[in-house]
Amino acid sequence: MGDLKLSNIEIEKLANINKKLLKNYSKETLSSREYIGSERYEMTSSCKGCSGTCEKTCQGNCDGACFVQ
Amino acid sequence: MMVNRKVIMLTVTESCNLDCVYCYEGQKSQKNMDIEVAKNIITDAFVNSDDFEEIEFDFFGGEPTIQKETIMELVEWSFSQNFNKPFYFFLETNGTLVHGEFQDWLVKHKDHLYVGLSIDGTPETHNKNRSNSYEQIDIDFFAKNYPSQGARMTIGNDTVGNLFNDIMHLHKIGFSKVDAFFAFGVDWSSKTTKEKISREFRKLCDYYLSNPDVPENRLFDIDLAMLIDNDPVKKWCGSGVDIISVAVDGKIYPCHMFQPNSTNTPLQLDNIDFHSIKDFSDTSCSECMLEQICPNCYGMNYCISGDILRRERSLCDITKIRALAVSYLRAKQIEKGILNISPQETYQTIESIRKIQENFGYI
Repeated sequence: MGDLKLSNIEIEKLANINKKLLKNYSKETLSSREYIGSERYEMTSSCKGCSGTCEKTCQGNCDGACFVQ
Repeated sequence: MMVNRKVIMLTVTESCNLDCVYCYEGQKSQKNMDIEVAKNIITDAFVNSDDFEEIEFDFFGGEPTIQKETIMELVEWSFSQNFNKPFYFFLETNGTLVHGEFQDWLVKHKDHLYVGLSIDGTPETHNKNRSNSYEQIDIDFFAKNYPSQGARMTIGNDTVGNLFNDIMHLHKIGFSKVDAFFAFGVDWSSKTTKEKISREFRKLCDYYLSNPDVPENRLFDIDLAMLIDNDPVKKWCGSGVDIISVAVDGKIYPCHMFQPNSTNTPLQLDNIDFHSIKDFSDTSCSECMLEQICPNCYGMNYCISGDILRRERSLCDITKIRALAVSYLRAKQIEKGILNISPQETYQTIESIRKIQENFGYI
């Protein structure tokens, strides 16, 4: 398999991006969840009829846990 | 602005004219909801919904359009009443009975009755999953009148190898948005199946990387940064709190999955109080880094084990593959500089990508 596996070099590149970020910001700042605003999870028309799912509790991340098949 | 919304599912019929391969309803019957029962439920909803700003009523089945006369009467009756808060209706349908005058009526009411179509992809896939019904659907009607609603696609075991083509087909026939969901209660664990799914996800990743303006399918809607969140596991859906479902006989359940037509498990719902549960984690999943983002169906859990918190595991491997696919796609997007996110989200996403690739890269 491995269709979705990143190479070690690709992982290393990502690690370097984070190392650079840590030079400009504290780890505490970068780890904060406060950047996520509620606007990200606004109800959309597709939430209508998403029976069993509720954007208030699932935060738009429900993924059809409650499903209409 | 988030609206505090109550969802009430009205099972207007248990009858269905199709026999889909992944259907979870084990107790289909010809029973229908009495119109007066439905009117009482609707009226009571406005009395008992003080905590909510608006109410959504979902027509549910079976196939609800088998009872289209009931649907039409309820909608017209409801808007002739002076109910005290905003409300609307939603109808999820297989589309096979939506033709002629009923289409005209739906269009007339489309400002307060939203309609979603269940369709699984190419004619071959759809017909295999959904009783050879592709040609019975006026697809243009749904694509034209409900463009933002999208297509609701359920992925079955026999057709998952065509996932990429199915999604592309639905885009091609007019649905800009496709909400695809893996069927619950299906055995997805074989190596061959997982290989197929990985390949299909890889095709989708490559497609989105080449077409960054195309909205990603909801299969990719995983907030990777949540994986470094140590908060208690949140309730996954509104079942039993923001949502209730009403069976054909007027009895109320936490959601449709608890209804007798969905489950063979003897129901002892008096023991279940969704309001009092503070932590929705399953202790046997506590070592899994994906628990925060893992879909959880309390009704399906209850059907399988009698315990709403004990996760039904059929989607375990799927969730791992999805997380791996999203980690792959986000890594490539970061590398190409086409992921428009803040430094915080970048940092947290990269941390999650590394963890996912380390834990699930073997899949």
